[in-house]
Amino acid sequence: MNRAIRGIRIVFKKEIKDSLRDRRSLMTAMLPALLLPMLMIFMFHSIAKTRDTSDVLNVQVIGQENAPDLIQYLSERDISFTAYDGNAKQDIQSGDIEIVLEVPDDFAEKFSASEPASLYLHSDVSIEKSEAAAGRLGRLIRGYGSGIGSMRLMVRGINPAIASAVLIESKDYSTGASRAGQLLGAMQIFILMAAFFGTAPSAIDTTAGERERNSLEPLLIHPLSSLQIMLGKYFAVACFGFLAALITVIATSRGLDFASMESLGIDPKLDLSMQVNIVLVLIPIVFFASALQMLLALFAKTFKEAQSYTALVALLPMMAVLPSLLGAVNDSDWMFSVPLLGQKQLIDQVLRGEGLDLAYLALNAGTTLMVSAIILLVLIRMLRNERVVYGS
Amino acid sequence: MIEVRNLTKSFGDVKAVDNLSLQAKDGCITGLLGPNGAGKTTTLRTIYGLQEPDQGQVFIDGNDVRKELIAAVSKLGVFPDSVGLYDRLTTREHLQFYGEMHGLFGDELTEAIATTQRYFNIEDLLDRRCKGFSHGQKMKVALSRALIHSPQNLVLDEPTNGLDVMSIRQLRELLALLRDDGKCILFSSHVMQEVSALCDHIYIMADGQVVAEGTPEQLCTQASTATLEEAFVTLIGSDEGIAL
Repeated sequence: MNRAIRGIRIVFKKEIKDSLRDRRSLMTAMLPALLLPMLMIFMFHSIAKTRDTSDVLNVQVIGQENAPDLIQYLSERDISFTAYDGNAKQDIQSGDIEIVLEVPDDFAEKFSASEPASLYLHSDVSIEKSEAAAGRLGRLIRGYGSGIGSMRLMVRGINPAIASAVLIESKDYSTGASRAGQLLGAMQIFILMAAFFGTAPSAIDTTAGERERNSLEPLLIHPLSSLQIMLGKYFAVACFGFLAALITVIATSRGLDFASMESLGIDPKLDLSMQVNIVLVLIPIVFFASALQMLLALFAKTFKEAQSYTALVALLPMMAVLPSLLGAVNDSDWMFSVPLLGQKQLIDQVLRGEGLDLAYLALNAGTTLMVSAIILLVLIRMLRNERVVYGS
Repeated sequence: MIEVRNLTKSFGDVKAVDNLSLQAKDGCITGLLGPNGAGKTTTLRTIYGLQEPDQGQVFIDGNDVRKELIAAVSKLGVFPDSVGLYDRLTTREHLQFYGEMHGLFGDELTEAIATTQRYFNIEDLLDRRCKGFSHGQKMKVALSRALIHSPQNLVLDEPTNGLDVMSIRQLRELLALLRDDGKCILFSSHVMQEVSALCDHIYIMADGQVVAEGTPEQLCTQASTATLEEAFVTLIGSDEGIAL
């Protein structure tokens, strides 16, 4: 037994050393793990910032003197005004200003005659800041208008409520944490992908690469069993997967610490126990990703071919997450027994702050590891196959 | 001692090796001479267990390669037809890795590396990474790899291909030394000079079969020729694919 383990360790040590010296491949493996979650969080952070309504909104105004009462009303509600007489279309589209409020000269006249008095809001809804400003200003002006309207009805002895035939009252049950889970749904893809990105380079190098540089034949003429050689390689590949998974989880957590998304009504954070839980969920998927990519690379005719296979396989997490993200499938128990789909469900639970259901975790880890073990058996059997060694 | 019995191996319709038997004895250098495509490499690959024969058996010191592969190859040093080194490892790391796989550790391993590096004077290569080595340098590392565990049996596939004259002489002297030490050496070549200069026993191969065997003198007698070179040509029927 000791002898068997020693053989595995010899191969493992060599593969780790060899892969660590391949800086470029190491970067290819680890950079996506670090950058993708960072990028994602930065995106959410930016969206949150444009939705932020706590600041005073500056509005360019034409004909301010035509509606002093309205201006007064808005000024009390965090809107500041700057007189404006430029080309609204040009300035908005160039991003110099966000919004222009135009009060026509006949506004006061129509207003006092109790006729609908028009106002013009210039904006470009394809520009996020402009759209947000238009929405905010529009809501305030509608509020002002309906207040005035109600007063006019009361003056005429009519209950203003009569004008509202239907009233919608929204009851939004989403809590901050659950909305954060929705938002972080996309993050799961990247977290799962990290396991694939992290294992791909060494999975290729230890199989297809070994054959491409003709070192597989010399390796196999040494008195180690296929089991020892394959396990040594496999554990080395998995190590890089763990590293990538760890990097992704830590990057996500650190990124969320710095980002502020309060204006989206959420404040997702990954505390230490959540990080540990996610890593626990990822361990079987690292073994799965290692086995699957090594299998494809071992059967690939060339190094290049192996790279295209693993690039495709790295998209698997996306395919696993998409159906439920699009609402095509309802959550149900069977999902936990499918590799990737199950991990997605479990990470969901963790991100929603529900904690980890150990029974589901065991089911998911069990099936994923079993599939990995079957692939590993095929790998071990195929290692000394002459078509694999000599490639014809 | 390496023994091949009734070996047959086909690739599709092509019979690469056809009912071939040979014996390489201890204390003897056995040569496998034949033109390119005669089935030499296939025969050797079957001996070190990476090519599965359709029929026949291979024994290394009595161990059946197909049934006791690990036991068989632990008594075997191989120089395969591909050098296959790792660019990012140094020569010393190569020898350590291969030595460890042969069960060498600690002082034993250090000593084995020290002994092996002297065979081809590769001391200056020991701590350099193999990337950028010349073909000759790589071959020396690969030959050292075959010898790191002082194997009783040595199988060399065209070991002089691409080696400079000095190194070829080194290799010849080394092989003679190992023979005198009682080792079993089997090597293939398509170079007559090589075989006639070194071998105690020669198998001449053509189209996957042994067409003649014996000591150099026996072969000359058999072909009724004065020199070995003429004997080869007579026995194979042509000198195509053979280098003088």
